[in-house]
Amino acid sequence: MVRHKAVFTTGEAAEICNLSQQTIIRCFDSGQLEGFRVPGSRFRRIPRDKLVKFMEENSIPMNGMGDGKIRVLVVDDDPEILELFVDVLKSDGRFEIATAQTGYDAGMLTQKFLPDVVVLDYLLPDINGDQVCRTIRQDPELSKIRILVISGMRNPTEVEAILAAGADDFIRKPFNIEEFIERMVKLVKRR
Amino acid sequence: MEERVEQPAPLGGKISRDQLDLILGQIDSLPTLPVVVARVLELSAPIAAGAGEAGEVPEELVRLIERDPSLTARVLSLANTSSPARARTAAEAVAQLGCQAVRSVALTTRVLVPPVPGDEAPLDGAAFWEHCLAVASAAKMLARHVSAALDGEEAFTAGLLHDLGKIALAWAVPKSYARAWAAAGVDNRSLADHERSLLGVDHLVVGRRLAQRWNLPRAIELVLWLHHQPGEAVPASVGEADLIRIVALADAIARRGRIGRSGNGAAGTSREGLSRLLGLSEEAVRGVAEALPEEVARHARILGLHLAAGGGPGPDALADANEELGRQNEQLRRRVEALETQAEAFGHFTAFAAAMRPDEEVPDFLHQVAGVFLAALDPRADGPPGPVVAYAFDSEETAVLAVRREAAGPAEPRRFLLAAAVSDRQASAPASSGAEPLAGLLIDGEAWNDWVGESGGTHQQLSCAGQWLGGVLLPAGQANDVCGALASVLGTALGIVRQRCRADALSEELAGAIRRLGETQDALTDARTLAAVEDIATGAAHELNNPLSVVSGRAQLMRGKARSDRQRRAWQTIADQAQRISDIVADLMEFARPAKPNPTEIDVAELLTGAGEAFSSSDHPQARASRVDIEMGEGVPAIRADREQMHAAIVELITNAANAGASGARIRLTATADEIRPAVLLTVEDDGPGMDEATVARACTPFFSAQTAGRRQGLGLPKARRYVENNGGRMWIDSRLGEGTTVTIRLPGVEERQGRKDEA
Repeated sequence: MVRHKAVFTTGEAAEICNLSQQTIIRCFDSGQLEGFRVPGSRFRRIPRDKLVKFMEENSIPMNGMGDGKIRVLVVDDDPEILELFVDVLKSDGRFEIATAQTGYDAGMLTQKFLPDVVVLDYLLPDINGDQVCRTIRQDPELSKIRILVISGMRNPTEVEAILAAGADDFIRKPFNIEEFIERMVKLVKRR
Repeated sequence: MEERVEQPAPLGGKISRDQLDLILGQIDSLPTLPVVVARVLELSAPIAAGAGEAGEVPEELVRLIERDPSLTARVLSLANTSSPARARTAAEAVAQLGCQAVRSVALTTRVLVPPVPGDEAPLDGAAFWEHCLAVASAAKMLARHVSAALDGEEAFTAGLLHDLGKIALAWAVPKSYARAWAAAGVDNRSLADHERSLLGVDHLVVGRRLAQRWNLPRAIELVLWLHHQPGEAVPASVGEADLIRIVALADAIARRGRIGRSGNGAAGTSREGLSRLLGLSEEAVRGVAEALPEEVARHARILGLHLAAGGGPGPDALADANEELGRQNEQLRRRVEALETQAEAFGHFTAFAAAMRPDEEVPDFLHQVAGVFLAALDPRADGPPGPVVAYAFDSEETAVLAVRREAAGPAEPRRFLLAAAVSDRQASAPASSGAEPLAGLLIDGEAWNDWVGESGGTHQQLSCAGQWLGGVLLPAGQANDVCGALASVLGTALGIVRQRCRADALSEELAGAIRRLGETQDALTDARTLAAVEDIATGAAHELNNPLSVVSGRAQLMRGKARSDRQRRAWQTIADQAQRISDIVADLMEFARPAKPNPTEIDVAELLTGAGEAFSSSDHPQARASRVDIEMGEGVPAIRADREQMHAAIVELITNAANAGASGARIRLTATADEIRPAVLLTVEDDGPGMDEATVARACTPFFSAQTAGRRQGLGLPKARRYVENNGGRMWIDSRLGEGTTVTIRLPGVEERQGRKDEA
């Protein structure tokens, strides 16, 4: 799902609002829903804030848009770690959490879940974290996603390599919970 | 030539048993007829012409010898005494002796002469010889009839010799024997009876004793003794019974036929009895008797008896023989002398060999050699022999080892350096014996001459397989032939000792090489282990950090829910310890594969100050209490190294020093310039308790700790050393119990590092 996008198509807007696409087009055409056309074509685009405004004006439930929680995708092949993260993040209350255990799943879920931040373990069973980083970074749609790599690594050379691959920050295992959460929030707010 | 045997005067004319033995002991050969002697000399002349030992004994000479009783007895005696092979006939004996010995026999044969010149010779000369030939021929013919197993030649010989005792008596006591002989010719009593009454012994006993002394074959001994026994009186158990009877019968036949003169007038033993015992028919015996005269004549001609009347060795022949004997004597004397020398040398060498030890080194060997020569030297009338110098070239061929020994007193080995290399030395090897050869070859020839002193008279070379290995120096005039013989044997011994020493050295080198190989393997294993550890550490770090994160994270979560301070603290501890474990793992990884240094130019004073301050402001329990003093030497250059790593290393060393001492340790950091090269020596000294040797050796082993407390104690020193070595330096520890510890780091100064980089 495409919830965090900045600009939506009519189809996407329809999905978010749980309305038919026709309705959205009619609202767009009637000016109820503000937007613009892609220059040189007839395609309609709706900016996020306009859509939000429209939904609020028409009391459309905001679930589709997200509920203000920070969306986090945690990727680690160790189930204990995953569970720990889930518990840590859940108990904080500000986060909505998805998990993946392989690089492949991470890629898939990034597309579907559209997280605000990906917490990524460097050493994964199928591909390395830096590969995942690069894959995410290559997709312009996903450019706003923040990547926080966690790893047992301490070697500064390797840390450099990780950051060069596209990660936004790096935190060591074992980690301090407060510090971890603070860094994540800071990352997201930076967007 | 004509020595007369000494005659002891028999008391009352009779010879006692002891006197008999005395007399017989002086007889080494029996005389023979003059004509036989002449012929023997003549026939053996060709041998003297230089045939040597391998020459053939002329056939005629052999035929002559085997027909003369004295010559036969002599060659048999010689052959059977000198070697174990038993010769039974003269021909066999001659073959065994060889022509030179036979020639000697020929030259030394005595002549049977009358006691008073002009008288008849005792034994009636030729007639007696004829009798011997007759008995010999008859015995040979009879033997053929009796049994094929009997050897005709042996029977001939036995018959020839049967009356040897008479010749002996005629030679030993000619006057008395002549009387006995004369008396027997007159009456009917046997000659043996007359011999006994006049002389006290008869020719049978004499013959037997002579046969025993001369190692004649036993058969002949028995024949000599028993040929006059009645046939039945010879028991079969005596052995050779047949031979004895044959000879007795032959004797009877000869006497009956009046062939020659046996000295016996009496008829002798009964023929019939003997024939019967031998199983011979009357015809056979008669046949022998009839054939006998012709046979005897034939033999006699060969012997030359027909010339008896006039013949005898002329004075010329005798003179020649004399001269020849003289020459032979001289030759033998020289041989004996040479053998004596060798025997003496051998005796010395045996003593030497007994004293040698299997693990002897060259100096000890030389000591022994000098001793042997000292013992072998001619003793001087005016003092002890010696001194003797024994020397050898050492194994590297660069110097000479020598030992100088006087008759009494200790001897220390000395070493003199050679001026020339080996190949030159070989070329200038001296003669086996001669003047002292070394002075010119040594660097300090004068010192050598002074030290050698009076030993420098003569030189004996010690060589092995043609190589000059050493030698012996003896005072002039004291050397003798024994020394020469000793030198040749000892040269070989020296060669063996040198080879053995070389083998020992090689095996030591081999052991060393194997040890180094082991060390290299260890180092290689270490390197591989380190690489393996690296890999393991990397994997382990990741593996460990996950569960550590879980522990830490869960503890933190639980802490959040804790209901009391105590609980909170407990959960915090768990989280902290998990973190600590992770840090240790990180250290280990860092140690296994430290980061590549990033060298920059570092001011040493800054480095030390910075490290000192870092420590003093750290959380270390001793940080406040310890004092860190810094002393900078003169002209300390800058160093090129990774700043962070050097800093960390020095901090580690300070921490280590602080941990070692009691509270309030005084730690001294110094920096001095190394004199030899551009380099800097940094030291970290403490006044703590110090370490013993074992602890120092293991101080840089990861996780080794001689102390019980101390955080991260285990990796401090090893890590510091790693950093230092990775930056091109060296670190070492000096420590003594009770005196504190000094850790020294040597780092290349700026110029040197550049130089090294060019090499790398």
